[in-house]
Amino acid sequence: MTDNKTILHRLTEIIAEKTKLSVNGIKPDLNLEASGLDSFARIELILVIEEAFDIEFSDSESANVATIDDIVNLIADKTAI
Amino acid sequence: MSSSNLLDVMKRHAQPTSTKSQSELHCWDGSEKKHLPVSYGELSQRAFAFGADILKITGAANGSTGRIVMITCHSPYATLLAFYGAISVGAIPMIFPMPLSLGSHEALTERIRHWGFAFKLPALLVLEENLSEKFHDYIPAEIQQMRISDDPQGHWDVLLKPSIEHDPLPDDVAFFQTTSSSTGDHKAVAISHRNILVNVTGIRKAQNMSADERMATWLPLFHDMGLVGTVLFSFYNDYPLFIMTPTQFVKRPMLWLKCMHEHKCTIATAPNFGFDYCSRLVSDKDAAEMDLSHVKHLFIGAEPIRISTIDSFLQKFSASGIRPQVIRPAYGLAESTIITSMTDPQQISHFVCLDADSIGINQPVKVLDKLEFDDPRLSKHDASKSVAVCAAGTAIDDMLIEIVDKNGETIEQEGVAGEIALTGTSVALGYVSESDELIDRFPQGRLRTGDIGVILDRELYILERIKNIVIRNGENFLVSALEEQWANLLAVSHEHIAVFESNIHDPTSDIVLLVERHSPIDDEAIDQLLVAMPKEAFPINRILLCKSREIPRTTSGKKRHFYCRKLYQKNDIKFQQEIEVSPQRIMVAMRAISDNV
Repeated sequence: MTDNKTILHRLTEIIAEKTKLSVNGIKPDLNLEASGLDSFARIELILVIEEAFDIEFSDSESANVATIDDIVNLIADKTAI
Repeated sequence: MSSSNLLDVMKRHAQPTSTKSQSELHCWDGSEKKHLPVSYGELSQRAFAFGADILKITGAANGSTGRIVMITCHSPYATLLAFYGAISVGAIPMIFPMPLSLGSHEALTERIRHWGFAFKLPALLVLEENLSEKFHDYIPAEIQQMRISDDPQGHWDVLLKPSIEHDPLPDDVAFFQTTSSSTGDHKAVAISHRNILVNVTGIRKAQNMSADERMATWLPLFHDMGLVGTVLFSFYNDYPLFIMTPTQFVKRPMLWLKCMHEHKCTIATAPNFGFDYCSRLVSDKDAAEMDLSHVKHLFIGAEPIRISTIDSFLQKFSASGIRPQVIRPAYGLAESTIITSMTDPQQISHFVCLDADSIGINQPVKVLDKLEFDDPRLSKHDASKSVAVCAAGTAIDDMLIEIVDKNGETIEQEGVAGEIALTGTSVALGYVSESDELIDRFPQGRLRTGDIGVILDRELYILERIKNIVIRNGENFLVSALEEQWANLLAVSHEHIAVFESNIHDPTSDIVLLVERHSPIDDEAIDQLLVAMPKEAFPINRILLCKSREIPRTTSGKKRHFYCRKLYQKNDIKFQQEIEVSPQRIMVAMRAISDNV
């Protein structure tokens, strides 16, 4: 089981790498829908996250995650034993 | 099969003794990593029960004729249950793109608000159960809601027949098809029961298909190619259909091909994007390990078909048994239900190379060369020297394709280009209207498509587009909506803005915004603008600022987007400033701003 802080740290690195946003600018309340990523880029980002954490999001989960915090909570749920 | 409406087809499947009920819809479950099957018979019976629930919710004991049912579900299964359920009680289903396609939840709620109150009776909204609770808060309370599960193998009520007796006439509206997935416009086409049945029958006949075909798809169901061209086509013809969502395909395109391999599918359909995406992302090793030799029909349509797309796909997947003979270009649009013309399955599809300067309405086209898809010269074709255009075949049954001039008069001479006009039983009833009649019918049932085409050796070729849409990655963007958004951003009148694709045959070509504006814009202001830009305005990647009266117009002052493209291709647009709007630049602008937070 991974704690939320560790997940957030790893997730921030992944998003920074994928989107070229600065690590400092990726806050838990950053809204992905308003971040300038188009639909295609968001799906690609979700795929990278799935592969990094070895999980799979359903379509509705992929659509429902609005903020970084939402993703952290979802990963925590899915990786919980 | 003598069904006269879609409900007849459902009743046929729902008969307990029907051998046809063995045909199944197979929905890909990402977490189980397998397809979950449901027979067409059971799907129909569940839809009848869902229809009964629609009546209960709306209090319409004698049927819901004319009531719109807005369907917002990710799962193809839930979408189709609601779709068929609405049909079973005489309601009119309308499938909406979901937030991942539209870019935001806000864009979906905006559509729901519009269509929810567009008609005399408020529309009913069907929502998938696991849609975000936050989303529900934005739905106006006056719009009644129904929730639906996405699990094909969960518990479902069934009815052996529709909960009310009704028999739609062939020309009654079956469903509304939205025509633009990406811009904030509200345009939809009314499709009749006759339209559907004639079209799906016409496709099968044109391709000489057997009773044992099997289909695999990832196309979205809010799109005509996904709904009519795969789902209703398979449902009517009793073909098993293996379905996954567009998101599942974008994440793992290999799944689509693997599905064809494992389930011996014989038919699949995609726009350029789908074939390009597979060629790019599937490894040579994976491609070679698959057996796709049983595939008989790979339909490619919707946008101008690119030769390089087909060439790359054939090169990548020839080791898996894909042959040039199975590539089947087609032409169609929502206003003609889906398919208008198809190429002959007995022939290898081909394309012509045309002198670009010869393309114009009422002008004879100059053919420089003609090649088939298995011609070794295909890879050496130099796209920069001419325009390569795929043959889109001949009209399917009950359709007439004419080439017309600006006044709508038929151009009889073969080889002369003009606008494509369609008549026949696949032409939709008309555009959805908010009037009491619900429909603005096409004059004399004739559809002016806004596409420029030519007939050569009896086959149709799509040359240009005069209708004002931009198509990118299978998504339609209405030019007027893009111009309105950019007019607001740049604080100029939309009269002084023109958006156009620089080359409709090249999906990587620039999408240009031509602005008549006297003062230049500095870099900082541009970066601020890019960050503030709504997602719907994204497809633009080049802005040209020019002097007044640079945008070509008709004598009555209407902008001529087609001529903008011609001028652009010849470098004849005199601009004062050029601004690049690349995704990289947007990211850099965002980064600069986030660093300052």
